[in-house]
Amino acid sequence: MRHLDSDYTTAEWYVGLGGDKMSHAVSVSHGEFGRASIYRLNKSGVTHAHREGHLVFHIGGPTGTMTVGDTEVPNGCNTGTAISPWEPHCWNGAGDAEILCLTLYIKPMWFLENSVSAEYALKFGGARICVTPQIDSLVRRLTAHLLEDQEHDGFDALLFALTLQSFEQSWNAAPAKSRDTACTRFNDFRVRRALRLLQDRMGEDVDMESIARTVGLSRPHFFKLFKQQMGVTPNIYLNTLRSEQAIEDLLTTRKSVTDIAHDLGFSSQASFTRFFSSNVGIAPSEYRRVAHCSDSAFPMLGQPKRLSGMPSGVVRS
Amino acid sequence: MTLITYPTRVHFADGVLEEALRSELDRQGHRTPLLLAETDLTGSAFHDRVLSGLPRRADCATVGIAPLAASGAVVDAVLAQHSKTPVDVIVAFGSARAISMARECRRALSDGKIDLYAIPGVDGLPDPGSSSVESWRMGLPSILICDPTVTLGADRRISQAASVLSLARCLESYLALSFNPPADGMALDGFRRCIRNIHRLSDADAIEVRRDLMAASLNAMMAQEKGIGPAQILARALGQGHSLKPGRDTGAIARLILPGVLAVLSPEGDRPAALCALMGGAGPLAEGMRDFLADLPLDGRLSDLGIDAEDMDRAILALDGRADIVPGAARAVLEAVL
Repeated sequence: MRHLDSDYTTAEWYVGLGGDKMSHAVSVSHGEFGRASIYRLNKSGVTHAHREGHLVFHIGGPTGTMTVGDTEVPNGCNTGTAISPWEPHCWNGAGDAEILCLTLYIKPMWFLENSVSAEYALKFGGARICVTPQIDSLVRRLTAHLLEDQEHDGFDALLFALTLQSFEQSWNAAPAKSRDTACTRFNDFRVRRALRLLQDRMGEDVDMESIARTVGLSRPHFFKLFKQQMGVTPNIYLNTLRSEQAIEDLLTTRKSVTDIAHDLGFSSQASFTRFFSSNVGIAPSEYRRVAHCSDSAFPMLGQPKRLSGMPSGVVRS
Repeated sequence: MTLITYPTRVHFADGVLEEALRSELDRQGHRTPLLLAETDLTGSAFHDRVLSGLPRRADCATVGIAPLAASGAVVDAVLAQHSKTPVDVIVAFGSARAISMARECRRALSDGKIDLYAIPGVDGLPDPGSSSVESWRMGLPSILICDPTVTLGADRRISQAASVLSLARCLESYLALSFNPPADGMALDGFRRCIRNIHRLSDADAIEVRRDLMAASLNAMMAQEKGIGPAQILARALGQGHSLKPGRDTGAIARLILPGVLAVLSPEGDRPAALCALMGGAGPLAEGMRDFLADLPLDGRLSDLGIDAEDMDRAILALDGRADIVPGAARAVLEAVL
């Protein structure tokens, strides 16, 4: 097992983009559940969103803050952060100080499948999670699992327990509003059409003005309607698609980072690296090196073998 | 001995269609789905929503079902598509007929081994089979995505007819003698939802009503593990040979024949009383059902649906082998509403 305060030589990453601030990834693991990582963060990120439910727990360093929607919430020993799927958020950090975090990206379907009451698709009741002794214990055990460079049978069970406890905590602290809020996404045909256009044109230099025109809306109306329905702007949505595609390509293909950048419509590897680092938190080349995948991480691509460090048995070209 | 099997994963929520479809295709690694739907849904919001739910890696093909298309032609079209690009899942959506044909396509393609996703629309779900001896497992979709919002604004009369069919399925399942407590529970719940909501739909197109009726449709299908009742068999057989559609038209037929079938069956014990109590009456069940169904805005005679004496003869033959209703009694029921 590696220890928190030393020996990051094989799994550490550095993103030093135009300054001396660097963020580090200690561990990244992909599985059927989604993704779990340990990050050392000392720089703020950009506003972004995920398709998954997102949980961030403080492991070490001073208390930081995150902005979830329009609200700034603390992230420290006593308070974790929960972000619902497609909820815009960003990491603000704590000045120059370095903070160690356990970050989880949980697929709603995986959560539903494992739940006794399979009803609520990881829509959290609020962003603040009170770190109870049970949650604290689960965070520590998961962190220990992630720091060990091998797979564990009990990992998914711990992950589910932590997600469930966090989910319940988020609703305990929430005002008495119904969990039954109907999903209002996709209601407008113009937004649906835009979603498909963005997906189809992900690898191009997307002009939002043109997307708006194609779906029959002015740019301001398009942005307003899109945000109303999806919770994020079209730009953040497109960034999410590109981040997902980039991660998938990094972990399941032999494509060079430059090729991945070009396939996603970036003019250079440097601009792609800046984009990836801001949105995912890790430089792409280091992500490829650090991340581990279980067999069930990317079922759409067949059943890839464990791809830690991209060994020779790569699944597709 | 009773073996109770429910092999279907069900998503049920308002607005769940896109996320559920995407997640299921992604989770199971299906990359070449075949979409199967009525051609009159092409370009509709429903179709658009299904397309929005496809993962970006999905390379989908579509086979449209023309209004008068025979199931054999649809199966051939699907087989032809499959020979060009192997299909790894069939996604049938929008109508009970499409879902029913998808089942045949699935059987022809793979002997039932590939997945079938069903996304019901306003006319609900088809019977899992045409008789009680067909394979229950083969008749059910692997994934069922029930999103009541797809039915909002749809023709309420179609929904009422489809819900009468749900009512008939639930009723006949609940009254069936075989021992299956989960199916009994689902049948009773589905029956209650139908009773409470079928008439409400005449007054307002509320999501609560649509949700309850879709839940009833789901319960009705699942409850059919107990078998298929005589009213269903007759309704289904009468609809064959015409361009009548499962769900909407078989529901209209079921409305006409169900009270008569109940009168012939004259069920005994505490079950009819339980159903009567849910309907707010004291019985007998057949009379209560006749009153309940009487003022629905649906066709008043079988002949209004284009059904004639020849169809009647064929339908009676479909009951062959059943002990609960003899041909003469069935004929009397049908003639009374022809």
